[in-house]
Amino acid sequence: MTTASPEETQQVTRELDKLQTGIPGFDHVTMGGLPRGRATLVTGAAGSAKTVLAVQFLAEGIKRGQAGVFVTFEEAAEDVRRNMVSLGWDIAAWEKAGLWRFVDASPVTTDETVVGEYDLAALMARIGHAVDQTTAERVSLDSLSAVFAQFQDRVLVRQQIRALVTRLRRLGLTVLLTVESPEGHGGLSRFTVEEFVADNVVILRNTLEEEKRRRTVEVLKMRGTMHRKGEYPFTVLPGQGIVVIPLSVIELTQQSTDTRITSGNAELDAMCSGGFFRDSIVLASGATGTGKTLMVTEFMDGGVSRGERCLLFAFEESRDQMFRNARGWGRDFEAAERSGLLRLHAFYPEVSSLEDHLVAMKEAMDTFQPNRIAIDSLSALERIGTRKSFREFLIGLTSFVKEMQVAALLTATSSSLLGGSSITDGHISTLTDSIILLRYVEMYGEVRRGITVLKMRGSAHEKDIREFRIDGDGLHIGRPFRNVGGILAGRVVSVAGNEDDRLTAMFTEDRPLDGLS
Amino acid sequence: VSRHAFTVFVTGDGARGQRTVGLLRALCDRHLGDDYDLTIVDVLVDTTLAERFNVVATPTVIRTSPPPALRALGDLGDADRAATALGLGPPIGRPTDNGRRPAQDDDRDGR
Repeated sequence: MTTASPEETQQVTRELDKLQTGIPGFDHVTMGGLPRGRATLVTGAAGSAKTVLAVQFLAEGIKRGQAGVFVTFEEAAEDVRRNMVSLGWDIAAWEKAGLWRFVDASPVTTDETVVGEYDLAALMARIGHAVDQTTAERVSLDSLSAVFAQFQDRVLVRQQIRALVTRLRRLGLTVLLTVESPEGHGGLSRFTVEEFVADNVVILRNTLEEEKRRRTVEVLKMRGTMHRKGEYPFTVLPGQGIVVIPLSVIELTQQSTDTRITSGNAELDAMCSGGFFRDSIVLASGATGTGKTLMVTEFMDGGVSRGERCLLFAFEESRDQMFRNARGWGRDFEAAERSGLLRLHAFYPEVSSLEDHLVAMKEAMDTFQPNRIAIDSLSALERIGTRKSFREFLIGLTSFVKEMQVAALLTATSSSLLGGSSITDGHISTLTDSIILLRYVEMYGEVRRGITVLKMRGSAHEKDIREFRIDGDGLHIGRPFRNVGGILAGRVVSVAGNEDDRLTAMFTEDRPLDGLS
Repeated sequence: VSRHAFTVFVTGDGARGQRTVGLLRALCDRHLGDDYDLTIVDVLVDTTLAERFNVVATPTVIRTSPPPALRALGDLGDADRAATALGLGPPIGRPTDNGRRPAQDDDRDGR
């Protein structure tokens, strides 16, 4: 609940009717939209996308057949019209269609002197007229700070705005008001508009953390109704506007299945007691060159060869390089793409923010509707955002994957060649169902490779660390390492008692992998 | 010199609007004789004009002629300030203290 004050607990049972805004992700954070017939105050510093939100609130309404009135106090209507074109909103066309009306209350350039008493009745009349003409359901006022700047008498302005909001509410309109908040003011405005205007307060933030811009939206309060707590990252995309990234979308209600799918490698399937689960997230972690991209290649190939739709996101190598890699291991990804079963997206991590990448990836998932997804590698994305935003990215990503109930193989690169874990591991290990480690093993003067299944939620799996090698066909898993320890830590020590034991062990036939002859 | 013209925006037929119109008439009579036009606009009736002149508050008085446009916001309770705000010269038949007409910024642009 937003508030625990006793007089309001009675309202808990009767949730307020909410108006779905249609702003992607925002309705999730507000748990259904903005309270219908009420005013919501949006506060934020300069450049926090308040105007974008105010415009988008109307734009999404128009998509749903609800007209809107935009009251602009700061920018002239013409500027708003022009600035919003890049976000894909053709306001002029909506005006022609009678779906959008401006009330341009931006400051006049004419010399204006205050001589005596006045009120803002003309503004109210104009808004009322615009609402009548369009039969609007949504009204945005942007921004109240400009009203305070334009008219010095704060007491009067506050009283007038309160009257205006009361009137709009009485008309049954859902109102969004913006107000500028100074930096470092806890996100609230200096005019204490919050106290008297709005039952609902939303804060937009645009902060610089570790030299990275981070935009978030937070619902501070929503009187008499539920909302989600905390900051949610969002991004502003051309042609779309604000897209809020709903962290933890999934109320973990969906059934997990027992259906297994192949990892694309029969020996690895055997180590996992028959393959990955169809709706699980698998993390493959290892140093560079240990075979992570190969595992991804086999995982994709395993899907394609069974007629499954496979979506691959590559962040470390170009499309051409990925194709060449696959060819080197005897897999034809070009043919797989032509068949329509494989889609490969190669992104250079630095081209956009984590939020933008996440939105792009979600779009790709929604359009392609894959049966399995692979990402190579998460570590490439780690460096472009703050720890916090990377963590949020991972939460968002894994929720999308869970929501689609598909298998995903994600890779992470550990920073040291021998042993060691990656930062990614620490962030994501709790979000994944299975973890596979790939390690370099230095033994008897040579470097070999080891693989082990560290965890597999809901299933038995092999605990051995097996040696594997890579050749022109792909990845071949062999026998477990015997008589050595410390492989995972990167410091291999012999644990055999004497040379005799070691020799004996070396010539003992290892049990074969289950399910393999 | 072109004839003076003023537009007064009021809301309804309330006392404040009527007072403003009365004060403006008295002011114009004093400064311009009968050489002026006065248009009264009720924003509740004619929102289009309020839109065109971007009027937010009432009462608003706009000197539409001669250019540049000048605006006074409020009920014109202070006659001297109102005269300055609307660019009215000295009252007819009485020079200003220094014997000259008040300066006007003719290069200022009005919307």
